[in-house]
Amino acid sequence: MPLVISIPNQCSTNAPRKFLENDFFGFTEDKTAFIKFHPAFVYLQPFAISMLAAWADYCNQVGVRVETENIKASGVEYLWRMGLLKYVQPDYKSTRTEHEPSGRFIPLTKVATSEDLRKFISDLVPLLHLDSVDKANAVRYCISEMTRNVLEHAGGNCSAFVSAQFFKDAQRVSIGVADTGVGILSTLKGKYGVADDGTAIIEAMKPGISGTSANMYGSKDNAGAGLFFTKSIADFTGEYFVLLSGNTYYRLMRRRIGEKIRLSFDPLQNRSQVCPIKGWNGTAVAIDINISRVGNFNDIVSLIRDAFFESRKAKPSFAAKVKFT
Amino acid sequence: MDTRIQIAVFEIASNFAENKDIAKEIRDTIILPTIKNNKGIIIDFAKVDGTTQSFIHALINEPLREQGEAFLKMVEFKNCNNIVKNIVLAVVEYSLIRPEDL
Repeated sequence: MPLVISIPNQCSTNAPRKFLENDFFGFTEDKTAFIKFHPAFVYLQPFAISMLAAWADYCNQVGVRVETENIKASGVEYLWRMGLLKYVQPDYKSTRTEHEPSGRFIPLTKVATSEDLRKFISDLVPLLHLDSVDKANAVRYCISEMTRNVLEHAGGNCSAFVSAQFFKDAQRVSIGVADTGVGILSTLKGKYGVADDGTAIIEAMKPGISGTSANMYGSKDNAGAGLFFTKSIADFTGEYFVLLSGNTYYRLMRRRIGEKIRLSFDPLQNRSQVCPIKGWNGTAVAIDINISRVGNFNDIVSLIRDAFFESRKAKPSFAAKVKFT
Repeated sequence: MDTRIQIAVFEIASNFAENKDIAKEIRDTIILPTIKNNKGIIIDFAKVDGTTQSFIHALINEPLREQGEAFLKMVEFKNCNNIVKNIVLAVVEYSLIRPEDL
């Protein structure tokens, strides 16, 4: 029996579980895998699209043939426009003329090098029509940090698969970054008592941990603070953040109406869920940013800076000694 | 005549300075040799409207670890907008934090 990946009618950060119930790497001796779309398939949020592309690319590398079922479901045209089908069904023929993607989404992009990332970031702001530098900074920041994590930590020549979509009515940018690399546990194993995927994911979101050094705030090249900053940006704007690797996923929940903004050093101090999943060989991140709440991006950075030292006895005060001109 | 070495970040890393490989290269080929020779540095962020903690960390964490607060006397951060300033301060603060404050 070949492996079957079932795509539910929709998958979002609000409802990811059905999609994550798939045993993505449960390959059988039959070197074929099927992606089976729900007959009423409507939609996949960018993180799921990025995961599928990363998975399909992995299948291609290890000689597993990928086929699809129910490719005619109406929502599949959207996946074609997002660029997913060139990885899972390259011979798919759309009945539509391809539109310029500007204004609503960033098509799936495989990022393998720093130069790929530089180009991707420079292209994305005009494509999303973000009307302020602050909004652009929030989006660029998240994409840069999450994609760099893949380039630095996923191992080997692992690429990042990145996509994004702007939901104009909700003023929300959804970003998805996925890889099929070594996973977070492999990167942190043996450090800080990390022995399982759940612990690895939680520790990776604390600044200083995933700098792959036992010293506080990481090594000379890496502070291990990228996930903390990115989660905090989603948190500040009251949106979801999902991090998954191995057999666990963490989801930061949306802030309730009237709830105060309180960024936290410890991800478990946020309203959140930690749940088992079937398994993902690698890492995937979903970040939602409500850009109408970004306001002054510097205010977000200030709050993150304060949260950085939340668990310390004293916040250091070197500010007066730094020469700014 | 100002003999300090000037680094124009925009020229090397564009208006959103996030490329850590470039930051590491600037650190290893310009910043560290310059401070070893006891010369000053101006890191100019003119036309840079955003950056990441990872970029700034790769740029200045090692000189801060090696030189401590003395590095702050040798370096000037020029034309930083509020975001760049805030991120520079965050990196300086956690790079210089003392073990007894943990």
